[in-house]
Amino acid sequence: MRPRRCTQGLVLITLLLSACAFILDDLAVLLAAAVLVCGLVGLYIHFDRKFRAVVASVEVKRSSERSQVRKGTTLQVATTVTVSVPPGMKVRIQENLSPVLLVQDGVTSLTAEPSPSPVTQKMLYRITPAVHGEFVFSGISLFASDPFFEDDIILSAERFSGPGIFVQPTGLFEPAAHRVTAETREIEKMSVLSGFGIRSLREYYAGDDMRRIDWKQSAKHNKIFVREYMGVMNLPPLLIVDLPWRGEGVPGRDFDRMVAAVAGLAEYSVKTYQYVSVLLISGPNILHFIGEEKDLERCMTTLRKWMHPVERATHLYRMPDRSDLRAEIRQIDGLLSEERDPDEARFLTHLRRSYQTGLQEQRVLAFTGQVIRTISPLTIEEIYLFTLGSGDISHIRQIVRQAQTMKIRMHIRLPAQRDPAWCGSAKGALRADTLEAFA
Amino acid sequence: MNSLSPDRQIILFMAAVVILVTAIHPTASWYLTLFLLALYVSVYWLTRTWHDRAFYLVCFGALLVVTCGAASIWEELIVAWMVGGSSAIAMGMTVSRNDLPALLALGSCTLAVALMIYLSNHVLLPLFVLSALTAGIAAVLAIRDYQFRKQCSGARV
Repeated sequence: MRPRRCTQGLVLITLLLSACAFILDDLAVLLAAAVLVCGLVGLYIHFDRKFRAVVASVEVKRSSERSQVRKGTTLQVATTVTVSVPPGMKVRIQENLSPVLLVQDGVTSLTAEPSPSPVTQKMLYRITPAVHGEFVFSGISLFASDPFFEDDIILSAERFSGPGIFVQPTGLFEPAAHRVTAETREIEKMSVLSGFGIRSLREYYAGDDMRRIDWKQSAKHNKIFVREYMGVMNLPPLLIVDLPWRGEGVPGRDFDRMVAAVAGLAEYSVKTYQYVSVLLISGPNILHFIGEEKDLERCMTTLRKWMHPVERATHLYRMPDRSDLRAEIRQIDGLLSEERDPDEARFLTHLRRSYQTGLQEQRVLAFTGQVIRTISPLTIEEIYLFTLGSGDISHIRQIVRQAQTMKIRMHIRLPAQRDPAWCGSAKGALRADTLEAFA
Repeated sequence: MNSLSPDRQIILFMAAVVILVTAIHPTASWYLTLFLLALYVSVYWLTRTWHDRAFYLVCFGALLVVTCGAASIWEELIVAWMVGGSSAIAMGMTVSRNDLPALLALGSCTLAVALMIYLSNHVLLPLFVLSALTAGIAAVLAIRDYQFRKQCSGARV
């Protein structure tokens, strides 16, 4: 229990009066000091009683979206807290979350004002486990204050804690998968280009293409029927949004422009192609996937929910790809054949051995596997990747490589006047089909 | 006619008590008592919207209490109760029936302390007793607090 500023002042007055009483040997001054001491002790006991009553009234009900998740998956947690606050007191309650559970967004604390009846409030937030293992929500922290004292307590007893979540590990590497691409999509509408599927049958009119006559149906009904084939239209692009890391600080106007660009393209896709698919990532972490969403409003709601800087569970730390390592080794081999200086040759040999070791140990990244699994079921021709382009871009390189393998055109959109690393050779290094500014 | 608010009532009552005490037992510094009373009422009025109002009230109230103590210990105690009550009301600590036992206990404690001081010839002994009692109470409260926290953290008591 800590005295507040007012109480600290009162203690100071008490000490001054006591000192004066002792020096002057004045009983009247001593009585004033003694009354103050009695008052302070009384206030202390009064606060202590109220504080205990508040703690006794706390009820916590916590539920998580799932009890078993994979590392890096985001899940929603809802905590309902009921507390009764006596008059003259303020109470603040905060979730005690393990440091390995990264809070993505939402509310993890609440303030309760004095009320004659118990107050029930809800905290809704999303967390991403950064480490695998079994975790139990360890309770809450309660902070209470009145004009004279303040105190906090960690409530981690059984009735304040739980439930537990089991976080399954994800490997860093995993084998890649294969996919077959298709370029068009059939729709149940008339179109200039016709597909292979039959949309409907109708009676023959003069001038209809004879090749479209369905002979079996015509023979059955004794009328000439022609087939109407499904229409064919281009495929909508997949939007990949690379959300910035929260650790990079507050995003500026570039992020707002990126949000506007993503929303605009999503709206265009829904209006033109009837649906849109959006993959939300942040570094090498897949956060959410909106698959073939036809409802524009729902799509925008989901985008609004996610479009903010997030905490990244894993980082790639500018990890070179296998092909990068091979290129480095080839370059060293070329230098070694021309090198005459034995010291430099020794250094290059050592460097080559290091790259070779890295190459042998490296497998397909888990993130790459997740990207492949997400993209494979989709029939897409183009991917638009929106990124702020700051910090590590190893994950973007992975996405571009997979898109190229699947023969999908890759368009990268990033802020104008980005880092020099993005300009000029970056397009060549990433091998994106286009690299444009979204604002 | 508008009825007076509780804080104004207690201030008026306190002023009446102080003037009565000064009239019954006039001292050489009676004008100082009245001046400090006026000062206290002014501070009470001026600090209506201030954050840590209790501190300023106790600062000026202590001076008034000590001045009243020049006449008699018991008069000083009554004025101290008045100052304490008005400060409590000023800080929004409304008194209900449930608080009555606590107030009675507090009043009894101050009465006992006043009696002890009244019976003492010098400051040293009552000051020592007061310090020892305060330290004892602080120790008991610290142990209770520790046990309470242990219970809340899920440990078996």
